[in-house]
Amino acid sequence: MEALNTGNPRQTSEEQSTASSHQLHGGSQRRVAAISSPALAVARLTLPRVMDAEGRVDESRLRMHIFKNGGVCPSERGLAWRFLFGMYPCGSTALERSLLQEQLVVRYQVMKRKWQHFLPSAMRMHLNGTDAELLAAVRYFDQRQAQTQQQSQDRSEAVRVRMAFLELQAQILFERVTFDREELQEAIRIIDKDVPRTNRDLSYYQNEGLGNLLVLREILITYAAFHPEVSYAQGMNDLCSRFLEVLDCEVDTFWSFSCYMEKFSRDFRADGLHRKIELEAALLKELDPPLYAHLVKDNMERFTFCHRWLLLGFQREFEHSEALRLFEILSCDHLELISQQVDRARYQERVAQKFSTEDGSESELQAINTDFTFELFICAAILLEHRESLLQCPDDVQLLQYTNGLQGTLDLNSILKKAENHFYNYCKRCAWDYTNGRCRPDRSKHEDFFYHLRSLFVLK
Amino acid sequence: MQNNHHKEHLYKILVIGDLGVGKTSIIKRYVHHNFSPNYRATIGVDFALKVLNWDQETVRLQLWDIAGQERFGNMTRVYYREAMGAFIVFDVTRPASFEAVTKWKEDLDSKLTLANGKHVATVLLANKCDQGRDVLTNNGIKMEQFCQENGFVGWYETSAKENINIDEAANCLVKHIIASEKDMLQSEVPDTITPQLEKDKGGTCSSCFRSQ
Repeated sequence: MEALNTGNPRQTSEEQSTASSHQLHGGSQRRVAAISSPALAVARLTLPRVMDAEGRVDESRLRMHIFKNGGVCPSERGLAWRFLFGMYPCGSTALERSLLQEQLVVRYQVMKRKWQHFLPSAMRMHLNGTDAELLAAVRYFDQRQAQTQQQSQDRSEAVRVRMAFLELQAQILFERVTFDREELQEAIRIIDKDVPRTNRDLSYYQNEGLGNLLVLREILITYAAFHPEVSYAQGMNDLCSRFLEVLDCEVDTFWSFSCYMEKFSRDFRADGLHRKIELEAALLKELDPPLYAHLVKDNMERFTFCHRWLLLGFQREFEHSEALRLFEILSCDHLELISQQVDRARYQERVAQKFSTEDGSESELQAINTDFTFELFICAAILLEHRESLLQCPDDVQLLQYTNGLQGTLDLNSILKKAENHFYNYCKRCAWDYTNGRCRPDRSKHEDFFYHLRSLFVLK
Repeated sequence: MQNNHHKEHLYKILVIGDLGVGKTSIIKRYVHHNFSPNYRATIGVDFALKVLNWDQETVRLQLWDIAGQERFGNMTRVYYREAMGAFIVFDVTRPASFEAVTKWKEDLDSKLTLANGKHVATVLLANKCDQGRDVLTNNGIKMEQFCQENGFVGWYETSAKENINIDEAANCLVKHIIASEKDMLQSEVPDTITPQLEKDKGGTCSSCFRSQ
């Protein structure tokens, strides 16, 4: 994270970033998010050597860039995320993306209309009348709807024909989808409870931006309707709000959020997060057995204090823009035990072992648990940083009180560095444990392995 | 503990109920004396501490604010352990949240029993009473009878926004907790608070309450 330590000049405020990328002029003129942003399909990333002349993106360079620079600069974030989360395939050209964008817009609108026809009563948000801000939000949102309708009427004949074709295609695609009335109503009931409780203090939701709460609602309902296996769970509003704030576009947020959920929806199911917390405990057992023993005591229950941390990717634990940056770094999957680079380093280590043992047996560095994601190392780094205080907490009440008190006090750069260190040491130890057990250590070969591993890191 | 001149009591109290009924708001009002319409949804569990003077004794209440969504129920229910009392909250403007009350009560009783086999003292809160009383008036529910039948020690119409009845409800709960604590210490005293449901689980659960 060198760039950050020296004070990356490009790390400007969120306010400026949105202003430059979406032609707004600060919070006072904040508008409701657009439905679609076709201009971005052909926009160019300015990151060095990441995009070719036709607009294809070198994915591993993009990810590496984000990781090594501790995040992408806010003005480029919106475009970078469209690639990072997979809404735009990295291998697509700018030309292909323009067509894809049209298709995604039409598909989303067909999906949205489908649940709206199914439950017409759910088209309007359930309001309780005492929240004046929310009434204003509905007004701003309705204004946007009216404007959009006007725009679609002004389309040329050629565009209309193309859209009609795409629409027909989308209708066929979603024709067989059926909804469970009760389940969907329940999801909408919870969404209507949660959407107003999204962090409204953000500048993104100020003034006319309040209407974005309604945009969030439409996206979440559409997602829930078409993913009954996940539907809606609390916390998804916070996550989706991140995408909306950065992408500032309804359709793109829906698709990027959907891509993200393909990987992480498990956390939002009943047992998913439980597994994650168990893994966190297992990792801590590797890194610091006494702290692990203290935190586990009689059962795993004490560990549930990191429920919110792991569900929301530490969103409420760090300052807002820092949390966004962390989310981006975690999402680039660069420093993972399953990442290509780590795999390559381990493969070379395996080959080296084969030569030195000369028995030709299939050897594996079995000690590494690839389920330990970098996110879990971040969580562990926070716990280890506060190790002494945690050890002094005699019971789960104090633990919970202490860890809740950490909100807003954590320094991201220092946590990232420490997490990298723990990650590195973990890889190192696993390799040594293995080699000590299996064969005579060969110094030069080890160093080779660690050199490969080391090159993944930014810390020196 | 009995021999101390200045007694200190520490009670763990759960605040449960359907999502969005105002659990966090009630706690913030009670502990921090303020209200905001913009609280974020509770994820997992939150926690607050309130200190009371009670007949020259100090009572510390740990209020556990437990997220209302069913899906993470298995995770959050670990926090029921060792609680001495509970508030079950519903929203008077939303009948569905009232219908969920019996479900929450059953869930609580099935997972939590005092050392003497009795259920923990539970007070029912009809929150958001500043916004109307639809649930209470339209359905012809007799709240007194409902509380008797479902084992609540009392109920209050509350408003975290307008600060109505929050202190009163808490005092009622503390009173019953203290009573049930005395009851446990002198197990001869007959129970006069609620009709007893005969589900004696004392034998299996007493080990959970060693600390008392």
